[in-house]
Amino acid sequence: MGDIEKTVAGEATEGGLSRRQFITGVGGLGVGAVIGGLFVNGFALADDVLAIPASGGYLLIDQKKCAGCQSCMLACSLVHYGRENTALSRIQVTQNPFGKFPDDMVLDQCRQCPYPSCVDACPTGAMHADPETGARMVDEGKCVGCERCVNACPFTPSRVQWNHEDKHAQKCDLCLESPYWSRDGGPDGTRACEAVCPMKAITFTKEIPIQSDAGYEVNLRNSHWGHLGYPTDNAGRVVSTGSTGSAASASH
Amino acid sequence: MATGGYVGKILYVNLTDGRTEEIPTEQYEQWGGGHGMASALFWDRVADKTIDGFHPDNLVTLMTSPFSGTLVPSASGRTEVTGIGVQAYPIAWYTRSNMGGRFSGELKYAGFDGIAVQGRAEKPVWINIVNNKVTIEDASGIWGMDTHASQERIWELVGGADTNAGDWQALSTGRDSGRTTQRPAVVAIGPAGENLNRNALLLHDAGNAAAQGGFGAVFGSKNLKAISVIGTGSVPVADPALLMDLRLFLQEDYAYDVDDPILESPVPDMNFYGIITRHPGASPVLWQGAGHPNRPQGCLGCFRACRRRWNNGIANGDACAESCYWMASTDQDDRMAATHLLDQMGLNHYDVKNHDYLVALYKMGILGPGKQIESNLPYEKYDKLEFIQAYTSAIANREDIGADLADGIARAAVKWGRYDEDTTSGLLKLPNWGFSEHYDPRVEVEWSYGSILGDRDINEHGVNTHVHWMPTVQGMFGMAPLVSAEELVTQISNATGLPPEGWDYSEEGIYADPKIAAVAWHRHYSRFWIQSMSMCDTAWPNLVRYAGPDNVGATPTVEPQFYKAVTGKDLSYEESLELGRKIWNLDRAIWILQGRHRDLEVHANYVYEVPTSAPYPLPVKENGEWTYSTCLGRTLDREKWEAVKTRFYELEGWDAATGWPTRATLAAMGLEQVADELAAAGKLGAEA
Amino acid sequence: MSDGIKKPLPEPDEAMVRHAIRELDFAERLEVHKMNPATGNESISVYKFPAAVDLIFETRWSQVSPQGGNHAGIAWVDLGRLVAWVRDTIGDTDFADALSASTAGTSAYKAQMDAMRPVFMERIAQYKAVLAAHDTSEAS
Repeated sequence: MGDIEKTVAGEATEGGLSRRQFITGVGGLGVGAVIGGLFVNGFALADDVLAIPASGGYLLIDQKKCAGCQSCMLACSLVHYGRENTALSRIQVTQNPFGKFPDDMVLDQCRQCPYPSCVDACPTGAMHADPETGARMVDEGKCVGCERCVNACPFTPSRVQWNHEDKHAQKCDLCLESPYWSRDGGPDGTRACEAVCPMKAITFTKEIPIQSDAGYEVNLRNSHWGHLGYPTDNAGRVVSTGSTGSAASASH
Repeated sequence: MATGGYVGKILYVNLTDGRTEEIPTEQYEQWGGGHGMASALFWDRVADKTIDGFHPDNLVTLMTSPFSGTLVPSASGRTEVTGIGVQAYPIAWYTRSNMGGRFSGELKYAGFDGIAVQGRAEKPVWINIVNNKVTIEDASGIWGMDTHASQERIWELVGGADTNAGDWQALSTGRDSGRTTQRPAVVAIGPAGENLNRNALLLHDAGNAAAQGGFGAVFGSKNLKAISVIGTGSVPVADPALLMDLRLFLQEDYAYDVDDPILESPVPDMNFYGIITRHPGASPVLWQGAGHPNRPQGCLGCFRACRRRWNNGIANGDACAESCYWMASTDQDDRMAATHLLDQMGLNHYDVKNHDYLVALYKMGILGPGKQIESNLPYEKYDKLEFIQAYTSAIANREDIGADLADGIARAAVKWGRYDEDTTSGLLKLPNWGFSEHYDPRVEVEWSYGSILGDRDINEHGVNTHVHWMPTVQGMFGMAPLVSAEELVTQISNATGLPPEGWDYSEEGIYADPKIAAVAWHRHYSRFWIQSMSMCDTAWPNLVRYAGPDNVGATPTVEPQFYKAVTGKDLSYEESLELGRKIWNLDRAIWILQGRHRDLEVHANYVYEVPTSAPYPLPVKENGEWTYSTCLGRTLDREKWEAVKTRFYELEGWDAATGWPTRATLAAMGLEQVADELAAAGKLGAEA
Repeated sequence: MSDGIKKPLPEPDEAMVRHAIRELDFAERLEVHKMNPATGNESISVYKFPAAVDLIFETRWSQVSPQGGNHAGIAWVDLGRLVAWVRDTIGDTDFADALSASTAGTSAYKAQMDAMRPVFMERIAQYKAVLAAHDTSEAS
């Protein structure tokens, strides 16, 4: 992504880029979204609309690989707040213990939308796209608790949460601000949910996924997974016995 | 004082008068959590420890630990359950059970470190916990429902019709009341508990059960149908960064790598090998994925996810023993249906699995229509689903032979006049306290000694996985053990701090002092780490590593590290064993008040009289050499067992004549008041 | 044990097959030990030959074919006793002889089971063929 000038809403960029030029990536700028909001941290294009950069990355989850242990949720609240609380997790897993695989579980990670409704909705600029990484995140100091961002998220459950203990909105920042662990977060670092998932069901991409449900689903189940008697097909409907697997060997 | 792990209060509910009380957790913090706190609470709040488990004064607890609801691996989801049980024979001891899932985490998020219930409601009730708000609700609409339906109905009652929408739901009015996407965590009894079956269990979600002890019947006797909890609070962690680092380290170095495993089952779709690899979904040991698309399913915060959830929703989460409930048919769908019904009825597999004993009696012409033991169940269709469904329902509903079996197989056999004969011949294998045989009591003695010296079948697999299962499973696959017997006992010795001879299962080794020390270690370690710190016995202790650069396990290094990271407190490994010993002694005192004496601590006759007849691999040291033996032709020796008891009691500081702790021993652990109560009952051990 | 020259089992007659698959008395039972991490070493009494096959080889009677037999050899049975049971209780001398012959020269349990498995599968397929030829309802 190019070096984006942080500007006050309404100011034009040098050279006056057009909307079309922005989307096609001219000038070394990452493709994000063009939106009509006035108080966004973005920059003005020549035709009087504002644009914000795309996120530096996206979490992809293989729903069929997930074991529902909620370690991702426990890790999220832990590295962000130093305490354990699934209600404060920015990633949510909901499941029906009596349900029928694969329809027993839903994984609700933030999509770092190219068009972030939450950013658009924020009246103070608290919800913004981080200038360096594009991660859509909350500047807690500016949050006034109007919850427009919570309501603006087009997905259910909202990927923006109201943090009822610290009294501000929160959402997935790709662990950019995760002070309670020894690793660096962000698109170029490590994401806690991805690192902790014992089923390795979460991965990360820097490429904007297709903007539909299918775009954020990914099949991470290889032949070793199939070897354990799990389906490896995309739909999760077929269990073959898979490869014969490696012969058991002593550790040394 | 801890700076993390605890949320500050234990909920006490009295169902007789509807009173609730918040007990400050710090009053019991010295006991660690889980079982330790539970036993201390029981000691304080149950004046007459000789009461029957069905008595209203019986105190049932569901306790968390500081690790519950946190990222400590395979320690976050388990709930410890305690109270006077109704299952064990001839005396139903003060006992324990536990269950996996997410109940303990949710309880912590609601703001409670545990729940203690006493009294008896006049009519069926359920306890509703929504953050700090606790209400006792009318259960007349759900009494009679099975364990699954009860929970689904309670979800609707707590959350309203939108519960299943998977959306944010405020737990109260007000912007800052906290919202959650999660369903309430519910524990419920089924028809078996309502009918006071001594083997009724508590069920949580689909397949998590606190099954031993008959706590389902204890709930039923209190007219308590269920407890539901939902919360949006936080669990403090003293050093969160350290916790996260430890979690990642343990996972990276000790967990099964699902994408690129170092050690993999030699055969595809073979859960059985998972006893070694600990791969996800391994615990329904004889079930396969082929034909049954599924995912692994893990308890809260677990790093191995040992269960499975299936495409037909049948037997979700069922694992281990209950998945082997019915072996007469090898049809997996039939087996799953049988286990599913067991869950719904709310029955403990470990007792009702003795249908094969009934069939033997039927085959002998002793049991059946018009026979000495009257029963009209379709025994001739034993290998058909129809039989097992009829059998399971009959027990849950006290019908037909179920009227006798509702008191457990031991009492039923007594009633039929068959107990002595059949536990002597081994036709009915109930080695200790009326519990079915789990591991061979004649040779795997930490199990059989620990069980008879305690209150129940110990069900702690941490040592068993290595000394018995590793060589057995390797052998069944036609492969050599992963490590030699000598290397194995060396690793276990290093991890436990005990001499290698403590893991010698030879004819001499099982009566020797190192073995006695090993049995004591096992009781102390488990009482603290497994049962008070809620660490799952399928992952802890971590004694030996088979897949990695060396065989060194994570125990005993990581347990104190996790403890420090979560609570902020220093607790050395040695101190943790001391605390376990203290808790074990408190339990011992309760059993003594209930009638325990060394004369009762004798296994069933077959253990001493019927030799082993199937290979049972265990490490032995013979002629100075370590090997794996098949341990054939072995029995326990009565006199040597008596000698072991004497030396065990002496090691524990108990009066060898009675098995009762002495004042000196109790006082040294700060349990003077326990000594006082034993003395008042005339049951204090005499000083040596 | 190398394959060598495999002698096919002589066809069994219907009477012998029906006798073989009959419901057995208590005294005639076979004890199969199921190794099981959940419940330890569990002794299961079997009162029917097809059920014994199912348990020992973790397969389904209905799915047995000459090439079949599952991988799940997690049952243990005293093989000497098994062969004697086949001979004396089940009453199939040819089958018992073939089982003994198949394990000659092997001592390791798994090797012996691997050698016996195809003999079992072949004999059961023959039983089923005989039953199918003589009866519309197959004994299970």
